[in-house]
Amino acid sequence: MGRRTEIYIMKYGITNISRNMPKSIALIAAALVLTISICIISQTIFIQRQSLESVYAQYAINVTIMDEFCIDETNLRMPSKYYDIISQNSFGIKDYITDIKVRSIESRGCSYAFDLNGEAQLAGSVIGLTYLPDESEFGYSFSMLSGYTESVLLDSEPVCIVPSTMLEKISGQNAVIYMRLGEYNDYISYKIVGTHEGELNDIYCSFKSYSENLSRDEYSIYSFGFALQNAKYNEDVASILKRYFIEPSIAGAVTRELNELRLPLKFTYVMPKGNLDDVIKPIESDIQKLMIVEPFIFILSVATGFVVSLLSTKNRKAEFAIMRSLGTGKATVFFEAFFEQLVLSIIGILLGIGVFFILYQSDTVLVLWKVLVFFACYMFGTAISVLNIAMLNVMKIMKANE
Amino acid sequence: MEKVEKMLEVNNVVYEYRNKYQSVKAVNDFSFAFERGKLYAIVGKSGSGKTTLLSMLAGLDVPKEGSVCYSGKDTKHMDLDKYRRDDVTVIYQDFNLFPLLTAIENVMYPLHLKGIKDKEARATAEKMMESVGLDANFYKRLPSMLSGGEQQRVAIARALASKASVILADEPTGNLDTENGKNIIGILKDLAHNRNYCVIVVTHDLGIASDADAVLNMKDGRLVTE
Repeated sequence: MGRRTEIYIMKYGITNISRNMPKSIALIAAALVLTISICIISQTIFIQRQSLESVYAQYAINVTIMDEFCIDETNLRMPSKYYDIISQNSFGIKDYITDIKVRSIESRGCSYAFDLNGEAQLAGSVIGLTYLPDESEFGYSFSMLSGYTESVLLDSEPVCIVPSTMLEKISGQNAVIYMRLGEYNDYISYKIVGTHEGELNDIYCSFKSYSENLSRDEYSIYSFGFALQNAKYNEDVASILKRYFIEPSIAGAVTRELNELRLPLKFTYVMPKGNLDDVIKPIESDIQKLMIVEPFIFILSVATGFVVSLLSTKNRKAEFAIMRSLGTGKATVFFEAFFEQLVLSIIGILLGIGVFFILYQSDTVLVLWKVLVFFACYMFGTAISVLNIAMLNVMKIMKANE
Repeated sequence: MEKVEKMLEVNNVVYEYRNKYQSVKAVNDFSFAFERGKLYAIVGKSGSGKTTLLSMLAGLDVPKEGSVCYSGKDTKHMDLDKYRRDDVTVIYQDFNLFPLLTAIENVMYPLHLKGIKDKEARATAEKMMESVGLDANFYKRLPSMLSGGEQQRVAIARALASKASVILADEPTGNLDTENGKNIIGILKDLAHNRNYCVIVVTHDLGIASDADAVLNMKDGRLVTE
């Protein structure tokens, strides 16, 4: 088929479309209605997904590590290396983990000095932690000095919170105290970043520096917890926690296997999801229903394309037979019939998209991808139908027509 | 002595229809040579194999056995679409015009198919329409706005426009009244005798048969008498 013939066949198609308006309008309407349906379904799925995301983002899950019987969350005596699971971003989703609350057991026998020439004094207790405790935890209040935030406690930098009375004795802007574990150890300089109102000389250090410098006890974690800010990742986090901790179960069976830290599995993780499931289940259910419907719409599109083309070409068999008898090749007949359907469906789809965007004031272009898939399915159905037309037995049709 | 040019040669053609239960030889060992400048009538009862023979002559099918040769070339080895575009054309009982094209657009169709420019195609189509007695008043009419006789004239004009040298007609007067039928036969005779076409008419109409240069009588797929 030459270029000029191709153009003529396209003109022929356009002539047919324009001179048979009722049929053309019916075909355009079919594509239009299906397009709007696809757009509405896709838009609804999009909106439901957005609300699901928003619910997930609003739900924070507080994860607590408890003993093997899932009874006590304190005095765990857990090896300090468990802290690395979070501090080294093993979860890969550190951005969503907040309120990391790791506290050490109390260490006694540490001494401190205001300067290295001064007299060493015995600290009350030294406790490592990763957070600023509230008043209820120790019975007195804590506060950070200006210029510091709670997050400094998460790092390994040697920083500490001292009694406010102690700070009053120290002059200078960047106040430090020197601490050591025993008299044979060197003093380490600890920057004072906060104060508390306790009466005893208790000192609170960043957990990491505490476990590295001020504790001989490898099993130094007293309590361990964190918050997962986006509930969307709860399954991912749970699957990671299972590599280190026991999954809580009604049976309460305790496994003695080793975890990925090569340590016995003897701590349990608890992830209370509250009413999260009650909130997300209906939304997920709606999305699932729509997701089930969506492929059927595409299958329906193939069938619709097939049926619509079949019906629209059914009464034109004689016309295609004339074309063939005049020497029009099968490919050209296919091209002509397909081209007409293509033009009509494109018009229908464009109108459908226009109507959808006007009626629903949608600002998402995601639906356009779905419309493209629909278009491909519709034209596939059309092609199957039109292929039959190109393969027709000319003489049989001519005789049947008489 | 006038040179006789054999346009279409049918040599021992056999065409068999088969289904699950039986096979029927619609055309059985048919041989004949059609020449330029003559009007042939193929007659026979329904089911005698006339239309099957016509479809093979028209290049819409090829014989199972034997051969149909156009200017010495076996149609089995030809591009049949091109053969139908350039060498042979068919006029049907039901006129078979494109219903949504005007009369002149119908005549222009085979020209466009050959890639001829619109202006040239229009001029040729007008000439062909005039040659079958249709003036400019008919050009823009759709087939539904034409009488049966006028539609058949448009069909003949379309056949002529293709510049094919063989015109096949399947019951061309079957849907026409006597007067229009006579006119159409007159045109076909004129094409054969004065314009040197090879015209082959399949018909029940004995009137056409009496006007033909040769009458081929078919029975059970065979050529009975010539």
